[in-house]
Amino acid sequence: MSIAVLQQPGEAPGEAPGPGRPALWRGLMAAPDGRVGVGLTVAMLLLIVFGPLAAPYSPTAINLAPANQPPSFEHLLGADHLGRDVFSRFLWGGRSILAIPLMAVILTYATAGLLSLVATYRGGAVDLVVCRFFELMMSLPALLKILLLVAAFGPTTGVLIVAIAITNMPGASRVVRGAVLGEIRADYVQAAQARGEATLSVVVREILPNVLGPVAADFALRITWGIIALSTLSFLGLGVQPPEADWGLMIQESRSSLQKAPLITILPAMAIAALSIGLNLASDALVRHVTSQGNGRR
Amino acid sequence: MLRDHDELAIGGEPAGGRLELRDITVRHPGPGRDGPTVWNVTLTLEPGRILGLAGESGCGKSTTAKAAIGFRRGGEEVSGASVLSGLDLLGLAPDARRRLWGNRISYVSQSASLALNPSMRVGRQLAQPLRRHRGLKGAALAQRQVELFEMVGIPNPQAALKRYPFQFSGGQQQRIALAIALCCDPEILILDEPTTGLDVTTQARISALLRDIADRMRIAVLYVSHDLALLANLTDRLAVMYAGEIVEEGPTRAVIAAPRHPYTKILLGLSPRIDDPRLVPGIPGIPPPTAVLDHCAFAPRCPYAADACHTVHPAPAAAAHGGVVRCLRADELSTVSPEPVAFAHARDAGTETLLIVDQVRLHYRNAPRPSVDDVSFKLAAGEWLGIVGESGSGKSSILKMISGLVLPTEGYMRFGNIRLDSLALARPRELCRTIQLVFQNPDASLNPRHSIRQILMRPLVLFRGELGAREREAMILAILDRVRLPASVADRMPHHLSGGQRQRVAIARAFLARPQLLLCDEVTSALDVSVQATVLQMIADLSAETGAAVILVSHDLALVRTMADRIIVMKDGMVVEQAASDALFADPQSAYTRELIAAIPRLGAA
Amino acid sequence: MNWRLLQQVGMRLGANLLTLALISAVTFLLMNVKAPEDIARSVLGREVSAPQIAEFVARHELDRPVLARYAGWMADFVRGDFGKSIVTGRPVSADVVTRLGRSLLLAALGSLVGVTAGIAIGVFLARRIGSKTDFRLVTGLLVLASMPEFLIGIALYLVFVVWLGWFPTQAGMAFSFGDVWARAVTFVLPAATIALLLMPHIARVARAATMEAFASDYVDAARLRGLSERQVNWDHAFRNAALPLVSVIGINLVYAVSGVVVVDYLFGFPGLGALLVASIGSGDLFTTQAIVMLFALVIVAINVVVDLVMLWLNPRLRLAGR
Repeated sequence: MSIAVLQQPGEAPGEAPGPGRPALWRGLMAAPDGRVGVGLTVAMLLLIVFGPLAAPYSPTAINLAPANQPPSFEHLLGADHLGRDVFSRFLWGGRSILAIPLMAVILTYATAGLLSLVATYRGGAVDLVVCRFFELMMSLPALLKILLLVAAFGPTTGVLIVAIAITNMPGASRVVRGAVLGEIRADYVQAAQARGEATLSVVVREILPNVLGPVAADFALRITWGIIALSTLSFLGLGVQPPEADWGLMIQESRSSLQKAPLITILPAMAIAALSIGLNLASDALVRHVTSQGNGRR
Repeated sequence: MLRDHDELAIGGEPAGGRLELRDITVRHPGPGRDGPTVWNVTLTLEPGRILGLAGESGCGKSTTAKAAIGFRRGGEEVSGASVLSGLDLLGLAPDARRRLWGNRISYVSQSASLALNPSMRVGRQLAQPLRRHRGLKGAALAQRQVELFEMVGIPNPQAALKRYPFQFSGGQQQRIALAIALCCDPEILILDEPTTGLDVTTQARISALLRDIADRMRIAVLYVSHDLALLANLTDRLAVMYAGEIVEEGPTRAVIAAPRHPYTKILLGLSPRIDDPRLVPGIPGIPPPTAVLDHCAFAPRCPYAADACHTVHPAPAAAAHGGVVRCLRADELSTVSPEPVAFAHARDAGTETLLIVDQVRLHYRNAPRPSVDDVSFKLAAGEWLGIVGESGSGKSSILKMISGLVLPTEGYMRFGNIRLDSLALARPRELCRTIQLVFQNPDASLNPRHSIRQILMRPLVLFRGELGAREREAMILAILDRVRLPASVADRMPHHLSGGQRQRVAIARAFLARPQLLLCDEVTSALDVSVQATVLQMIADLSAETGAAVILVSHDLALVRTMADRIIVMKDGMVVEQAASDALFADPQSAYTRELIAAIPRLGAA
Repeated sequence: MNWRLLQQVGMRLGANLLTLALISAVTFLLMNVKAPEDIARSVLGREVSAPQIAEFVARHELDRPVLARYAGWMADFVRGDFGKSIVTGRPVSADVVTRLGRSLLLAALGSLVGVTAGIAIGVFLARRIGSKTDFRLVTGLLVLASMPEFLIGIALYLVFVVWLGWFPTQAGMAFSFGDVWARAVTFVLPAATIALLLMPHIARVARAATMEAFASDYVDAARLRGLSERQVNWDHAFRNAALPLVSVIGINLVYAVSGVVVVDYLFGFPGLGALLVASIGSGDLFTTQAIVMLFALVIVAINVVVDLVMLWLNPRLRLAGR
């Protein structure tokens, strides 16, 4: 009933958008909240990438000004308790908060995502073991898992990346598995198998293009969660360590002076929120687009 | 059984209500939906009579049925009147309607598995309307529940009442839905494709039950179905719908014997029948999505359309069979009917054996019984073999084994002189080329992310590596033309095509490999009859040209009859009977085959 | 209670016990990846003599094989003896137990408000799908769901403590010196943070589940049987919408339990979370592993309850295999 009824009798099928990435992008930009999300994300990315170029001072240089100096012409946002320039620290502070989650999610998909893709396609005992393993990993909440790993190995950048990657593995595995399972029994995959297509060709040509949409949406969502996890950790003093400039860490350090100088807390807080909200709005619009498309063709 | 709410009939006039639909029109305001989906439907349901409402998917028959009892979903605008003993259901307050629903008017929808609450025991679902409309409690309630389950033929009703819907088979679920619908002795019963999706024997039993209940309880029934043959056997009057309009209505026998509207004529000729293996050729195009009010909606597809048909919207007129017909040329065409044709295909004498399947067994792990059990048959080059069976009979599994999607647990298969003992992946490419598979659901058999060109290119790249890019492109355009699709389709994505068009692409893909054996798995069961004939014709023509043998798997015995030289009947994974088509129908050997044949609704037998 | 049901319940309990055992093993191993000398050094400082280290290692029995220590730790743990802190030397259980109670109360309060509000908003929206209110609120929920917990807390703190001044700045003090009222007040902002943390997730699922149930054929069918709106809503729609909701509530209760870590730290609430952060910071491994195990216990208990509720609600699970 779906598309057929929208055509006039005997008429050739109408003009419509092509396949692949452009369609995904169009779907993303079709929803108003998707547009806001993309706009916010792009703005924050520009700030994070080019912000440091505009920083007037080194973000870690101490005693540039008297401690807790209020905003002035030399120090637009004043100085913190160690006399560091808050404005410079702010401009630098987005790098770690974006880079660590990004690398973590790439690591997640390079390991758990790929493993699940192969295991689900193979099926049988391999699939069962991989499935149970990731299910077990879910039995502790993400924050506790990360805290445990940080307690054991210390809060170095490598440990943070691995820890965030690990917490994302069960979910990513589930997304990949669900998407692949949906495709694997589809007739067009069986048609390819019956043609005698090589396994790699079936996976790459038939399954992957259909899995990419949900995975792209999930990827963006997991970066949001990574940002939330990392900034929380830094806020607890167990994430990015001093003297780095990091938005989460800045909030942790300025927390005690929240009443006297709320701006030093509020500014990085707003930045984290904007980044996370932007990514989340965009990935949600993407998820909705992907699922509505899925319904349209089944 | 006395009804406490309606006046007792006096002087032999039997009790029972009439439902009169007057000019029912339904609109869905919104973008892209300018016309009404249902236009001026006028019908009368008489007590003890079954009125059939036939039509293809999207013609508005279900919408009409729901609108008739005053049920509408958000956004629908319904006008007209639906009158039950002086009460206009469309004008009633919602509360008053609710007192009628499930009480004097009952509705049964297509899928009982969706219409029964999955997390509530069926006994409670049956009790709810009895309590509400009849105030039954305690022992009286329990007694009535058992009575109803017995009436619809649920074995062991006491225990059955305590079970959940998923613990019943599809047929039993529909019986339970029927028991709930009948629980308050309704005057009006609306059935919306109540047996669609059920096996043919189950369908026959439920239809017989319905006929019996309508007669005994003097219920006025509206039976909505796409299956003209079924309605022909079951109903007293028949209405045919096209693009939201009733195009023809009249006494069932008269309409079937001498249809007046070209659409009815073609629809009748398109339905496969077991007494005649010929079919009317399919008609081009697809129905418009909404009613067409400035000309005859069927004219663009009608082989008899005159100039006036494209400019004048025909009004319903009295027809010779005692009903009405909505066609400008009804009288001129009264003796004209479309000529059925036999689907020609290459009938090699069948000397050379192409495929041998010998004592094959397939037992999936954890399955209680084998899916395929000790199946043997031979197929000659160019032969058409039909495999028929109900769901779960193992008919599709046989195709999967031949095409190398699964390996048989036991047994031996040979194609030409190659043993089929490996999965497709490990088979020689040439073997994969010669055995091609077409699936049931065209929505799923084409990768939604590939353009039609990419889809058709694949077999050429795999099997015809010697061809250059230009030759390939030429072959794609040629095959598209062959399946009557415009060349522009090559650049479209599957979801831009209709179901029938997609299935034609799937057939084109199979024939591009130049197969010697084509495996068709229920290839038309997702399609409307007018599209089905076209698709079958294409398979017949293409295989006749290439000399390919065809194995046609279907649940539809009549359909297989129109196509196959020989038929295998399967049940529970085993072969029940194997015979030449004509012989099978003339003299069925097994009780099961006889039951299957008896269950098929017959056109023209009335 | 039939045999099939008992079997199902037994299987779920067994699986959860196994999970708990695995968590304990992994936790213990992670807490002992460092060499005993390194553990000693991290507590005593860099400038310590070899005998001091040896004495520390011996006192805390860090020289015994890991498996033997794990067995001993587990045996003590189930009896309520969580060992002695390697930093303070005090018994861990003394610090931990009162804090556990407070944290659980906090998580329960926050969850109660968050889940109730979430369901209410979700059901409210499900009846208004596609309206402007729906779009705005759903986007609002999405924005809230993208906020890290500590930012929600800081926002509440800025508004209600710094700006409006409704709550004292040093909330934690009330537990040492305040009366019952003062103690109760300290729960408000942390619980509100947890509630706001859960609410958007619950609301989104409640909205989707309710919408799906109301769009289902069986709800149409129930209406067409003439049942009252109340019966249609409760027996047919909400009953089935509850299924996906229960599992999401379970996930979010677990989320709430781990959420106390952040609010404790942020509001100076003397709960288990604050102690966990502090003991990780000071390298107090015994306290850390005891707290993680207690959290795991609570979480597994939540999962067991959710599993049982699902069994009760979903006849398919209950009667599986029949």
